[in-house]
Parts: sequence; structure tokens; C-alpha cells
Amino acid sequence: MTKPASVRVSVYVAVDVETAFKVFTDEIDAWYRRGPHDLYDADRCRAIRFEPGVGGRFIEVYDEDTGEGRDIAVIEEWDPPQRLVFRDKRKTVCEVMFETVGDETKVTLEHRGFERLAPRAAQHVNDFGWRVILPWYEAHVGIATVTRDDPAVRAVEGSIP
Amino acid sequence: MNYPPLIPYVFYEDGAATVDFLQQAFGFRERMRETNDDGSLGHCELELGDAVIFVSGLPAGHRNPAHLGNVTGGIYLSVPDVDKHFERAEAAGATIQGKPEDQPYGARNYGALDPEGHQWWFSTPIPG
Repeated sequence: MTKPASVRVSVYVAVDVETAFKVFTDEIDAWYRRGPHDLYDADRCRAIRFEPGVGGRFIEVYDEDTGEGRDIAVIEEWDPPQRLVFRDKRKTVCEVMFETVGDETKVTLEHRGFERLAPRAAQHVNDFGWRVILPWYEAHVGIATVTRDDPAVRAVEGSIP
Repeated sequence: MNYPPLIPYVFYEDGAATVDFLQQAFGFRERMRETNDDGSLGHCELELGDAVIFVSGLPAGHRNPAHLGNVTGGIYLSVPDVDKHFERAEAAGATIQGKPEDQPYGARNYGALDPEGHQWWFSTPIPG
């Protein structure tokens, strides 16, 4: 009987590759939905963030003042705006790739290493992991792009001194 | 990531190779795939415009049309330019069943088989 070993998800966002990388990393707290299934402790979580650079943490922040909380993963490769790799506590690895395709940026996230997990955990990560989460990012960029390009929004922004 | 109300789910013996074929020949783009620990394809999702199909390896007890010896169903897909689509499919080695032709019901279409014998039709509405 086979079990899942990896999931690869691709979304296309209508921004340049630099913006796509920046929104994925710097602005993750704006799009990551802090639900009980996708955090260690949703009640205590005040923010979720990447600390930029190799060795930086992907962290659930419980204390806004100190920035401390629970580490989700550690960044192993940080190559903006093309690539990002982080390894979580269970030794599964996420590789995120950003590439220009026409007028869009293709963002591909491959989450691999499920074979290191017990079968039920592997199935859970497969079914409820990044295949669910990455579309949150896609939707967030889509809304932000529509808002930015909306003439009515521009008019209002233009009127702000 | 859109999930239209009706999504065909097609099974292939060689799932990974077929996903490549569906992209090269029919113009789909892959948006999600699971890979099993033996390297085989699990669930996979492809899209072409607003259309979505699911693909996976062949479940136990299933046989594809190439082995059955006959087609048991087909997928009818609207594309923006059926003539361009035909050229692409033919160049990529799809089994073509005829060039695009205008049909009396207001569409221009052609049929093709994928490498495991599943039936596809591609169609563009005739303006007016």
C-alpha cells in the first residue's frame, strides 16, 4: 500500500516576482488564516511570520513584545525573489519557487518528506496542508491586486495628501 | 483555485507521463499533484482556462480504454481557438481523429485520443 510522500501546488498571481516573494514572506500574517488546524496554538497566536534569511524562523508569535512563540520551521535557503526552503520540526521540507510566466508569477510550493511521518500523519499533512494554505495566498494577492488597480481606489488614494 | 460544479476525474496507468502529455498536447497547466512514496502519481489537478480536471494513477481493478479495447466515455472541452489547439495537439503526438470542422449545431470541433485511449473533443463556438 502506497502512502503520500509529497504535494506540489502551483498558483498564478498577477504581480511581479519580487512582489510575489515579498507578499509570501514579509506579509504572510496578512493572508495565513489562523485557524485551529493550521497552527500549533491558535488561541495564543498573535501573528505568524518569517524571519528573513538562512537560519531564520517560521514562527507562531505568542508574545508581540518579544516576538517569541513556537517555531514552525527553520529557513534553510533564502534566495529572494526566486526561492525559499524551510524545514519543519518533523523534518518535512517546503520548497517555494517563484518564476515569471507571461504577465504573471507562478508560485510553486512543494512539500516533501511525508515518508518520515507515521501513515496517518502523512495523510493528514497531504490532505490538509499547503494544498489548502497556498490558495489563501493566491486569493489574498488577487484581492490586493484588484484593489490596487481599481480606479475608484486610486482616486481615493490620490486625494489623500 | 476554482472548483467548478462538474470536474471529470480520469485515471491513467502512467499518471506522471500523462500529466506531461496533457500539458504539452492539450494545453493544460498543472496546479497540484500528490506523489506517493513509490513515486507514483496520487491525486493531481490540471486546469485550462476555467476548466478543471482531476487525474490520478489507475486505481486497483480499473482498466483504461487502451486495454479495454473501447472508449466508454469522453470529455468535451471548449477552448478559445480550436484550430490552434488542434495544431498543438497534433504536433505533440495526440491520436487525432480528424481536423477541426464546422458542425451544424454551431461549433467547430475535433476529436482526439490521449495515450491511454481516453476520448476528448475540443470545440470553439462559431460566432453568430
